[in-house]
Amino acid sequence: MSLNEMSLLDVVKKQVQFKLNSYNGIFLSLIILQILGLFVATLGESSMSEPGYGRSVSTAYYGNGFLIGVTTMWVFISVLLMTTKAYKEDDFTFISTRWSRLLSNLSFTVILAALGTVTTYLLTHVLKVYLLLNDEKIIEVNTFSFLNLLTSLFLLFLFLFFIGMFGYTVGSIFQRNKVAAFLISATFIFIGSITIEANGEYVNSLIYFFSKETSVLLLVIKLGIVNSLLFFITWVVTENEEVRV
Amino acid sequence: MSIVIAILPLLLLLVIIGIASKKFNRDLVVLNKTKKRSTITPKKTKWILVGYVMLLLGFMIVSFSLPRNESEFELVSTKKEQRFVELYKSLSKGEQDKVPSDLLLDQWVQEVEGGTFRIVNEHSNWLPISVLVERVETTEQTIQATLYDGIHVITSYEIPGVDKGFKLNWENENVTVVAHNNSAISLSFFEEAYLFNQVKDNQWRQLKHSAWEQYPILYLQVPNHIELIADEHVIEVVDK
Repeated sequence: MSLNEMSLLDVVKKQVQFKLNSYNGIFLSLIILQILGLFVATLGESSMSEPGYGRSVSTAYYGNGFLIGVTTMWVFISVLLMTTKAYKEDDFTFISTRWSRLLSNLSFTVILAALGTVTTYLLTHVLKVYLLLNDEKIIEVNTFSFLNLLTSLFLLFLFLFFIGMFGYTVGSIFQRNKVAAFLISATFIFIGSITIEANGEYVNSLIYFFSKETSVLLLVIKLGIVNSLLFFITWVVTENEEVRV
Repeated sequence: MSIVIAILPLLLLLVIIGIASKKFNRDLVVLNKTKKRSTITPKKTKWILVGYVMLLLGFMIVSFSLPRNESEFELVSTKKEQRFVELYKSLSKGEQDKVPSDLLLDQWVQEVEGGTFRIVNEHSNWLPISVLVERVETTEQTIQATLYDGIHVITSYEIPGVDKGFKLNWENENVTVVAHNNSAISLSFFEEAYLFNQVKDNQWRQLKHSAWEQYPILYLQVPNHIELIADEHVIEVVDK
């Protein structure tokens, strides 16, 4: 029994602080992955050439999609690792509850998503500098207004947080029951292999719910609902796990 | 069957993640020896991360300060692309009167001495222009020729010079189409990821990685009594 009564917020803050100090590898891996991603991004996303008889046209497309992909992968794997036994046992350093553990992990995921968003945006400029020095006539398509930029970064943050939440839920299920994890993964793969036709385009059914939404508000609501659902699943799955086994 | 094949690599990936996760749980014990060897402390990591972000910020400033030269290629509106589609449709039905006058490049009358008219192309099965021929009921020994503009679009950007890629050499009853060998053109695009384009206002447009070209159209009105000699693969006879 302790004489000092700690509030939930204090415990969460301490746990987050602990994670920030002790999970060095996660931050270093972000830097390494992003630098590797940058090298790949300089190769271009695709290219096209028209040999033609009269004139030949070669086109190269560059973008920050790969950088976002690398950061997404980093968030997913980092959060997935947090659900492993070794990381879970770190939380027992503190007097914690299931609530505090969940909240601290979610706060840490928010920090990872925010860091991923900022570094991805900044890294895009490194790519642009390289491309502009290589070819000053590069055509920048759909450049941002300030408001567009803020909206896009906010969405990127929400997307990374969603991936983090998804990773946390998947990891929690994996730790709890391997068979359930296998079945759920198989279901996702099966649903993911189905494509839906929308306006002549084929879209993967798993991302259709998000990818065809053009309203910011509706997209935020959709992500909010799915994240809440994932949080609920995690809450249920991690029941009776507040003690070291 | 194809679904099963598509699932197999992913299942394999899941199994690997599962095994790795299990092994990671079992093996993740930081040995004292490892601890002592590690020189990357939390404080160092913090400074490495701060340094990384500062470096990226520096690049952002450089990126904004670098001059962006005007590209020689212009964004084409869907409306403009549609005009060229309509141009071809109208001409292939012989409806010259429906074609906007700004798409007309040149118009002239060619005298033909004999009873034949020959279209010669320097390249087999290919011409740098589209030739549409309308047979007209007249006793005159002349051919009405009209040249219309063309367009070459790559990923919604217009490649200029499509009207300069050829030359027409008229000699009595022959017209020879000569293609110019233009130098190679290279384009580079930088496009923000789909996520950034997803919620866009009306001024934004999702670019499609596509290429289409409509060659300039040479519209010839050839009298019925003049025999037309041309490779049927490179000309189109207008059906009114």
